[in-house]
Amino acid sequence: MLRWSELAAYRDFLSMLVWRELHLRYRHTLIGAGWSFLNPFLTMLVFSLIVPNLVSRQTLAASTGGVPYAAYVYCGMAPWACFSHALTRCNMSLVDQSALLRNMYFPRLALPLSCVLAALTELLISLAALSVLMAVLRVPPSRNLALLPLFFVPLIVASLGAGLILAMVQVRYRDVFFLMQFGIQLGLLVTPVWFPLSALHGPARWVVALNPMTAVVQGFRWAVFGIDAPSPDVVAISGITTAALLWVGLQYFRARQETVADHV
Amino acid sequence: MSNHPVAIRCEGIGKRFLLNYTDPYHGLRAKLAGMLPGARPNAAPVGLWALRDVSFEIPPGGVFGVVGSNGSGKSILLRILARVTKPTTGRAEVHGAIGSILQLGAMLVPDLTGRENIYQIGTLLRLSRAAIDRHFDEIIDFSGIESQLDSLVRAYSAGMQLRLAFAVFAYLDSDVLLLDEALSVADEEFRIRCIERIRGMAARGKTIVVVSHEMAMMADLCDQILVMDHGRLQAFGDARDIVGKYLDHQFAGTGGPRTGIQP
Repeated sequence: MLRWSELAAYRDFLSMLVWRELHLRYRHTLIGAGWSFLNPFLTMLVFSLIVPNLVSRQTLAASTGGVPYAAYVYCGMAPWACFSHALTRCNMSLVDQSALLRNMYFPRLALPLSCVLAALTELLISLAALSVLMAVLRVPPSRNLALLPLFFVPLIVASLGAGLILAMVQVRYRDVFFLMQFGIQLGLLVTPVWFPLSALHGPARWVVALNPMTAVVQGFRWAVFGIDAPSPDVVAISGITTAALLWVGLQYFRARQETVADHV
Repeated sequence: MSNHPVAIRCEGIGKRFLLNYTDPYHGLRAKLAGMLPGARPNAAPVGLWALRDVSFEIPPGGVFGVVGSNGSGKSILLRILARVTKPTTGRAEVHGAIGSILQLGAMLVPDLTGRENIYQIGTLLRLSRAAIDRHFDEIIDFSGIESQLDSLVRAYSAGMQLRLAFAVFAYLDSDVLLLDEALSVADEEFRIRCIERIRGMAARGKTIVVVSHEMAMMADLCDQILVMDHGRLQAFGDARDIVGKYLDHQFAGTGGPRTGIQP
């Protein structure tokens, strides 16, 4: 049993964990929380410098639905960065708090969950930066914008599911940290952040559709710009892997949480 | 407040740790190396019983001490009562909400200020933020470290860390409170106030379990004392009797650190 009701009793502790994560990370830095949108911003700059040189102006405009490429990439980078930050934090969340785990009782789920919530807070800052970028580039938001929160659901589910697995596996196998970093690097390349899914055909399209972030990135772009409406087959495949990820994550975490204090 | 006739009941508790000497660092390397053809099979993990067949009952309301030499199983007993870890055998029941200070350093966040740590510790011990706000001035008063409240806890001495954590602990509404070795770094003045406070909590029906090596203090503080030896419960009785006997026992030369390695 994961005791969700117990987690509710610890909600003030959970919010302290989220606050502490963000506060300690940014307190002593020059630009503070600015770092949270600088990462997607710089990645966007690199892609905008290179990709428009690879295809003709017409092809690019057709595949991005007329949205400037910079805004197009940044809108996909924002949820991707949230996912990768959530995973990086979750991965070390139990191991970094080993003293606390060995000496205090609290719902273990609070640690990875606080990592996902901290990453979501950074996403909100990134989205504020996106709105500035859109104003500068004179890109009007689409009427679908009200539906944007809907696409937070698969983002949270995928981040938590993968995060729970990474956090618990790290307790046993310290190699996972390196594998995860490698996985995140490759993950960005196979997520339609810097290209439209419509550019892919055949097996490549199905492989990319398996990626839980594919539907999220498409959904974000559809809500913000009104382009790239997620196709039902992609939503179905991506949705199934996302749900499976959370289910496996919860089962695995639940099975291990009671003995984690003995191993961490 | 729990109205159960028993605050803590332990039935045949044992705790066994598996020590894997061939792969203490949890590497994938050792795992994979073990699968190679012709690999030396990994030595079987060695079992270490930190607790064995411990049974006792503690009624609600009162201060209960746990004493014993290093490695006798006191801390692991408290960790089981605090639900941090599960016993390998037997059952531990604790009735009512639990609050514990098992290791000061684990609860405090060195990079946060004293003020911020009060909220950190408080919420970890299930006080709501509103309740901490309500008691904030009393907590500061009790701790006596108002002047250092906005400096980082990493600059605190051990005694100041204890003052901060115990001041929050003193305002907990939990039914069962567990303290492991915490008071040993307190100065005389603060220790007297802690003892008064603990006695006061016991008088209000709370059950407090304290681990300490300081027998003179334990005789004043506790109603009853459990003596642990090599992971087993050796004696359980009136505090003053036990303190007298235990001191004799130690002078007889049977004390000292032990580990209970058994196959």
